[in-house]
Amino acid sequence: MNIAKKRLIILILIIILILSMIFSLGIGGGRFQVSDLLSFFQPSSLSLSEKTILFEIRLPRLILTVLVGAALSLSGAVLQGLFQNPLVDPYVLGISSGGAVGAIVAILSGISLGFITLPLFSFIFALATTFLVLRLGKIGTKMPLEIMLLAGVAIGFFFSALISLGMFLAGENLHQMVFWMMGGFWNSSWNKVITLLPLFIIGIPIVFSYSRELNAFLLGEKVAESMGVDVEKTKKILLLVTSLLVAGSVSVSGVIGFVGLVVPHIIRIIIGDDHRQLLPASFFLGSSVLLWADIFSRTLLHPVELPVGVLTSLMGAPFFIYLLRRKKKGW
Amino acid sequence: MSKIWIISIFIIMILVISPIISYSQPLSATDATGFTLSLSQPPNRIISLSPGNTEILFALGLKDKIVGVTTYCDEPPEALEKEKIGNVTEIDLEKILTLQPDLILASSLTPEETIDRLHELNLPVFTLKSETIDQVIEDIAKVSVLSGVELSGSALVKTMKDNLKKITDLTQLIPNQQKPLVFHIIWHDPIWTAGSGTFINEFITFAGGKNVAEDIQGYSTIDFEEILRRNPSIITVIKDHGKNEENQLYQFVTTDNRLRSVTAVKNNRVYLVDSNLVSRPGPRVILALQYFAQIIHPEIFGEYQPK
Amino acid sequence: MVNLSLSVQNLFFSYENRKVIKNVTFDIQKGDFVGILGPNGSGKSTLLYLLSGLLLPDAGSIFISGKNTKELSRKNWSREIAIVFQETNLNLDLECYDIIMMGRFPHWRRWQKENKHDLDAVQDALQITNTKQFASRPFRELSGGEKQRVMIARALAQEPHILLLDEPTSHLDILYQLDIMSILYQLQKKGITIIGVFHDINLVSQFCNQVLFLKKGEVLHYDLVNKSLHTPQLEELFDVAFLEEIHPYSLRPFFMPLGIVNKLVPLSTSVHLICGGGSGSIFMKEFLEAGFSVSVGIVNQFDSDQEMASKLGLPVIIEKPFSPISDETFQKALDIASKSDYVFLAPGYWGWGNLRNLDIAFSLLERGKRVLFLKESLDRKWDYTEGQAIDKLNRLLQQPQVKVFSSVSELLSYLKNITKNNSG
Repeated sequence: MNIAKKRLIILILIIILILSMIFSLGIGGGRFQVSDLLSFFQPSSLSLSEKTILFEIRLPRLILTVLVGAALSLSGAVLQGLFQNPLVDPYVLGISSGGAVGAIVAILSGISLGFITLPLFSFIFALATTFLVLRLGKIGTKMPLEIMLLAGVAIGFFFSALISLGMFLAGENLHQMVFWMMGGFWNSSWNKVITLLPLFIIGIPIVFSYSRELNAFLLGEKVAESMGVDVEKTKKILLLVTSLLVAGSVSVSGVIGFVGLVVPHIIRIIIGDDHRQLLPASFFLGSSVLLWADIFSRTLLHPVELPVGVLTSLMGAPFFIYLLRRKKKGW
Repeated sequence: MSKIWIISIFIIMILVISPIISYSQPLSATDATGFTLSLSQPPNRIISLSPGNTEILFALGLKDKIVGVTTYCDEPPEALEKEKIGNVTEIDLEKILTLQPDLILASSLTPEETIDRLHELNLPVFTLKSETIDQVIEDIAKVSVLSGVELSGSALVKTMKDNLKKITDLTQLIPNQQKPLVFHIIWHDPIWTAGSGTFINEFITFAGGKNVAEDIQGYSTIDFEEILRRNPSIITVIKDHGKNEENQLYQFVTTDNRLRSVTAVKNNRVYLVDSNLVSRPGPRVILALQYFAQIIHPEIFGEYQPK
Repeated sequence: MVNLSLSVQNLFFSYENRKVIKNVTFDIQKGDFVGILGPNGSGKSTLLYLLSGLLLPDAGSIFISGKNTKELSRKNWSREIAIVFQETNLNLDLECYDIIMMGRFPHWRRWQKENKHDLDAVQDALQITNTKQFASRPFRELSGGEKQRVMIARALAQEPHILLLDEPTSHLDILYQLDIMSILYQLQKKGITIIGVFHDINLVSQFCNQVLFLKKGEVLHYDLVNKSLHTPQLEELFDVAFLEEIHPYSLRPFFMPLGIVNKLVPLSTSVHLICGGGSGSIFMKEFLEAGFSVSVGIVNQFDSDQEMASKLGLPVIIEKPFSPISDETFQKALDIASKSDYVFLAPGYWGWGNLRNLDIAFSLLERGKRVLFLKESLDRKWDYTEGQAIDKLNRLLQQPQVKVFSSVSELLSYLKNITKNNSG
């Protein structure tokens, strides 16, 4: 597939995203209403509650979903390229367990700093977990990636045990933990958008600028280094930036699975391994996928809201199996 | 001479036979699982597996017969001094056995496997699973029969029914349009409320209100937008137990920007209700209903002033 | 110094307390094609990694085009040296053109776009490696040899002055092996210095002009191929005996290992073999395999036994073709034969030309050596000297130090037993 075709596909993905976002503005009350959509452009004619619904509940939710979907898919693509391993997802370094432990600590300790308590705790713990794994996986000045994967797995297990313990001790607060871990955009607010946005604005360009290095990694670390790539620095920066993006996502919307794992693979099947197109394509497809998953989560059983993390896993698992069977040729 | 003999023998026979007859008649009732428990004599060593059941036992005057309760049983305060057999979901079976109970009251919160195990061990376990006020009253009656305190039981049941009727008599008369929309919030992240088939729903409806979430079954999440769309005029908030001074949930409802357009928030009709009070199937359900009635129709029932 | 492409001085490298490279020093001129040979574990790949900067030495310096590598940034180093690794079984869904373009990495800054120079470099690389037809095909569709060519193109896209290759042909079909070697040969002509680690000695002898012998981390030899690449050096390097021939087409040396001969066994027994006309070849093989050292004589030049003995590198006394044994030659044979413990007479035809060989046996008896031959040698059919040869043999038979065997295996077990007893 030549580059013009790939660029066309990315353009199509962007268009799909924009259309989906516009469509989602009209989704509420369990169905799509054009009137809702049009009201967005005539805010003065709305009552206070209608305005609140559109601009303070729906719009931030839409934006947050898009940001998180993009962050997770992009991080998944980058980590898969870095680790040269197709089974890697954004939580490979224990970020999700770290974030969960942070949330549990916040819940159990009863500390209250207002509404940022849970997100703040989970963000700090998620990042701390990553640093712990990176530290454990370091040997001298080098970061052998296989060791890091193992460290991530080990920490993940340990934290899972802590999580179980936390849930056991939770008592009446059990439901809070369970909801947090299911992942969802139910309480999306502009506050959450504002916390995630700076991470995004800083992180995304950095990640994109390393597309060529990631391509070089495809040939193997040794070859990449012989071509002038600063392998250790590349690993450090990419791991750090993706950790920030994923920790940020986890802290505002809990643990949402499959998006970061499956979306890059879908793109690889269509476009190939070139990160210069793989990264932006994953970015746009991921945001659309999560956006639609969220649309379903708020309309399927309206007015009951399903947790979007459950939906993505339910949708993702069979699709992933389908992909595996198709791509027997291997990575 | 012979007549006196016949009458005395007759009297002696009655005196001897009647206790025998009364003692051989079993105390029996059928529980929520369809299991019929029969006791040959009133229990002296009762274990409660839920706070609601503990309240029932105390209310029936059986406090001295209670030998074991859960760690959550805190009402009345004397319950705190009783022997603990675990919490509501993790029950120490060995402890139960050592306490040699002759009646165990399980609830809908008790895990199935635990109840099965208790049955297997041939222990006298009676499971209460009520979902409405009427069912609670029925359960109280059953427990009083099983425990051989039918008299106090009937008295309590009558009081409860009377108080219930007092309230419903008044609220039945309220026309539909004048029934305020009430939203009961249990948690904010995600928004968790109580739909139809819950106690809360009964409280709201019997108290002359309309549950904003009545189209939802049971306890469930609800789309944030719906709260704004349905615009309740009253919001009841569960009070956090012991965790924070400033109740997080109450703060959320009263200060979050997005809720400022809701009538209940605008008119400052956001009320804290004790979470135990509104979720325990026990004798205080009527008190809970009274509170809801005061919250929803203070003009009829007076100001809501919880103790 | 100016013409020196690469200069390595006193290089040391250890890995986990094991010295892998010890005091390696050599210089390479621009345009040399150097083959590195050595047994497994000698540090060949490690040396390449040190030259390319993938590993840093514990001590010593490397100068590339006069610049000390300690002062080179990673990118600049990659502009001087490119390395091609052993095999690529990667299944990448990436166009070959894009992979080759990756080789331009050391020339780019972070956000720099591809410019004309980059495009030209890639085109040149495609041209030289003959991979133009793969340019738009996905890498994973190519065969092993084709992939390797693309990898070389990628390395060439770096526009290096020096190209390193780590066993680039080991896993390839013969067609691709020669294909790649000829590409390298062309590159050399363009002035690119090439250093390759090869497993195949003959590829080095056919294509390289310099050879580096590396054993246990040390340089045994570094010299021109026609000076250093011969059996003695190879045997010292690999501890295996070789046969050297001249390749009929390229006229360069061509080597064949002898097989099971284990030069590491201490040679305690030596046998002088008297033969001719092909009768001795089988005994040369048997004795060598048994671990004995062998000398041969006297044989005429162009006699098949002479050729075999020379190829095997055995000490052999040669008489001019078609000439009888001269006194001079006879004396030489005696000198050599007296260094052996035994003399063995191979069963073969005796003529007037080689009859004198039997006198060697007699002389050696006088010097206390043992003479051995097979019973079948006594058959009259071998005798073309009107009985003189058989007479000599019969006379030998009567001497005490002479032993006759009924079969080759009996002979061999006798000799082996002696060896065992001597060394025991």
